[in-house]
Amino acid sequence: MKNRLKVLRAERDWSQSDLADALDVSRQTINALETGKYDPSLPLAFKIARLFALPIEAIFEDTP
Amino acid sequence: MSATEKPKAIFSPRRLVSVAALGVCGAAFGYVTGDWFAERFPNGGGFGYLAEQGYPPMTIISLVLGGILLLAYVGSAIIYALAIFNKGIAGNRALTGGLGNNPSSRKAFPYILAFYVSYAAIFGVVTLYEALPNLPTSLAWPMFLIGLASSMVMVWSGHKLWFILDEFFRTIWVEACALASFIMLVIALVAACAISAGLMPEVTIYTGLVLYQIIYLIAYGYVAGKRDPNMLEMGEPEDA
Repeated sequence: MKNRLKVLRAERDWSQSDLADALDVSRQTINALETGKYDPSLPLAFKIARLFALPIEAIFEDTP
Repeated sequence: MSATEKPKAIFSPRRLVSVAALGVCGAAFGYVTGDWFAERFPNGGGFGYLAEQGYPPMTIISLVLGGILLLAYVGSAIIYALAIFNKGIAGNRALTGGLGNNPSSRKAFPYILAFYVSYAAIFGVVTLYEALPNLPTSLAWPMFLIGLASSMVMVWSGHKLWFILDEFFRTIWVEACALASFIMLVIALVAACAISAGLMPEVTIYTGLVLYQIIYLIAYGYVAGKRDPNMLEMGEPEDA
């Protein structure tokens, strides 16, 4: 699954640690999400969507 | 690294040189230590001694590997104990199994320490009984109680860790356990068939336990390496 986390983070000039703190997860989680190595659980995806004030589909894109 | 920069190549020249250098160092170390052992123990050293005592070959291999695992668990316990107080060690992700120096990891270190100490204690008891099965019966209850208490600490610290570490680490943990269990199940079934058919000698539960731990360590390294590309970096990685 592709996502725009890195772009959204860069737009706000946040580091991975900043985003990790805001979402209450580890920096490794953010790193793995951004590099596409890990897909978040639904609760974490909603949390990310709330943080960026965007719908989930605007952040995550299903790739067949 | 900026958001538009390309990710690092997996087979970068620097990485290849590092792997080659490690390979050369490993080969040199193996050659020197092998030569030293061959000179010092012409009859096989510990292996020869255990064979003379009547231990079957599979038990000897299990005991040697079990001893190495035991040392690794004690070493890990020491590293996590140091990581609680030393940020440099905590930040070394290769030493802390990919955890690194962040708030949830720091909270987890004391429980990982408790986990490794209790694991080493119970595995030490099991190894001792495998190596010396004729220990006095007066030691049976103390040994059993050490094992029971250690397993309770393992359950308690494992339960704590489950909630302290975030979903990413829980996923790695679950996937590694599932992969290792499935591989072990297949090996156990094949081995059971071979033993029943008389094609291989019987093995003890201890041998299976050692094998499972080795498979789990490999499975964990594989899963964590796939999920976390920076897992074995010595320091905190740059922003991806």
